Amino acid sequence: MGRSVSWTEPEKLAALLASVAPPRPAALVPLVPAMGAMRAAGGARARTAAVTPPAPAPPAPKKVTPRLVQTSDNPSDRLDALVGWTLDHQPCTGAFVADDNGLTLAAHGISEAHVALVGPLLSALVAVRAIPGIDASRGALWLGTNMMSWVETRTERGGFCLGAVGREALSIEALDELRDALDTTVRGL
Amino acid sequence: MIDTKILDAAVSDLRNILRDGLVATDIWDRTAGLSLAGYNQQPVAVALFTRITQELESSLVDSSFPPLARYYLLDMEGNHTAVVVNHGTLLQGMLVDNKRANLGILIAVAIPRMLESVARAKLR
Amino acid sequence: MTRSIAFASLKGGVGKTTAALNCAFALARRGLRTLIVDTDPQGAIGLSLDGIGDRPGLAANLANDGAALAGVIKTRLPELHLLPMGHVDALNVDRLAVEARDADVLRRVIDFAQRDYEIVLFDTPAGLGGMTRVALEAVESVIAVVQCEPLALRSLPRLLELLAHLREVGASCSLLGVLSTMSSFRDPVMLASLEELWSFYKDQIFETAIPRDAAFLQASRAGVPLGLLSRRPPAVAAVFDRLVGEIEERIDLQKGGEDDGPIRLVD
Repeated sequence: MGRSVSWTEPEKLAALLASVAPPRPAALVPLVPAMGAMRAAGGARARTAAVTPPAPAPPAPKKVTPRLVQTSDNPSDRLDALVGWTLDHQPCTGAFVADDNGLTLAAHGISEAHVALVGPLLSALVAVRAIPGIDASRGALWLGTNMMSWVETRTERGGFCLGAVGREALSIEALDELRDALDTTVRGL
Repeated sequence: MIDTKILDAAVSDLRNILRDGLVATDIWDRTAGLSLAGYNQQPVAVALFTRITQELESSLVDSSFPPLARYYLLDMEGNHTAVVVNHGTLLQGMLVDNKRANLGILIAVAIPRMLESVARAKLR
Repeated sequence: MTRSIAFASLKGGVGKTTAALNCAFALARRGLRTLIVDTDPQGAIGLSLDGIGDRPGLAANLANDGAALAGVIKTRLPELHLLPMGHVDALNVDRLAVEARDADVLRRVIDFAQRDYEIVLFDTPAGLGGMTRVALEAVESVIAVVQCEPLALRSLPRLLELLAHLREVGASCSLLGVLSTMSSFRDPVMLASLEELWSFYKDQIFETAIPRDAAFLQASRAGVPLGLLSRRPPAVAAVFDRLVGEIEERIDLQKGGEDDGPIRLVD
């Protein structure tokens, strides 16, 4: 794995950013809409953007990831909750949900470049899926400085993909958790 | 016989999904031009999009292209997108503010839901 | 309360002055009474705008012990005023920063601006010393401007270290956000740089990135902000409207007041 472009040490940077951040109330951090570049004026989901400097600590015991519980029947709220759950409970810096067409339904912390990748990625998976014995419903892709891990599920209305971007690919257990959370979410769509 | 209560519920569902991204919508009988359910309906738009859809469908057939399937989209000036959904004997128009509505949710969730609901309403 | 923001970067040529100037224009167009102050001894704002020339400004106020806001220039936008640096002898550049600190001139600018302005933007010279440091010590917020390329990214933490150090010694500056400039998806190294900015700086980075565009050179040549390049400004000018929208949200600019309300269009 090559060195990052900026030679940044993430932990050191996180501590530095925390030391120069202004005191903020729970900030409104709207998700990236697929249409248009401006933030939606209404319907933006609140997510507390807390950056805490990592403290040196002994290795923690393996955490049990809480299952995602959806409490709304509104598709936007369910998708936002899914992205929020992924960011809270998986080792990633960004997450998104996309449909078969590669259109982003919900996202946070991912760049336009990642969004642009989803369409070609899912198109490529169509051919892979046709190969007998190959499960193309999950995987990971190296993006040069980050890994994008994804799971896919299919419904009567088509396929949906949940992606997570981070320093490393997610484990098999994490992908199982993602798939479970995605299935829970799209059931209500 | 079409159950307009189901259509009203579907419009309400659509407004719930798209929130302030939905500017207007109308579901109408394309032969009679009769509006059956909607929100912020525009009669002029019904006439216009009935004509546009007819022209589009006949042009596709005349040119030996595949026929129109579920919907078509028009990108309009002023941050608006017009969507026309083909429900067979019924048409549905939507005007969406594309700065406030998520295109993915519109195409992957809202339109499929409308198709199912209107199909149910037509079965009655 | 008047808000104060400094645009800063370690490297030169990243688009700091362009960003500060066009943000000032966009803020004023939104109705905010805006003052942009040039703290660059080279007089970058004066070099960017036709009509400023060597008009006296901050440097003259320091030299003559004059009023902090003497030399403020009105523009064709009633809400936008600017305070240029004015002429600085090349041999006196170092002394300027010392005198500015001793006179606490930038804090005085902010204090006097409370009456007439809602926001004061400071364009600073490249680097972390001299007038940049004086500005960072005085302001409430800092926008770190970074070009989408590896060297600029590597130097960004040094600016943050300076901010952290200044806060430790009592300054109230904090990082309002990181602004990426000259972005392009075409070049893989630039794309990787942008992607790293997003990954590492997350909520600190402004969603609006300033793209490479020929219009910037045209505006420089004409000596005007993008919004005044023609009657119908180039599409890229809208980028600054989006950016100041984000700035307003982050800085929670107080709008209106007791006397705010509908204003008749026709008397």
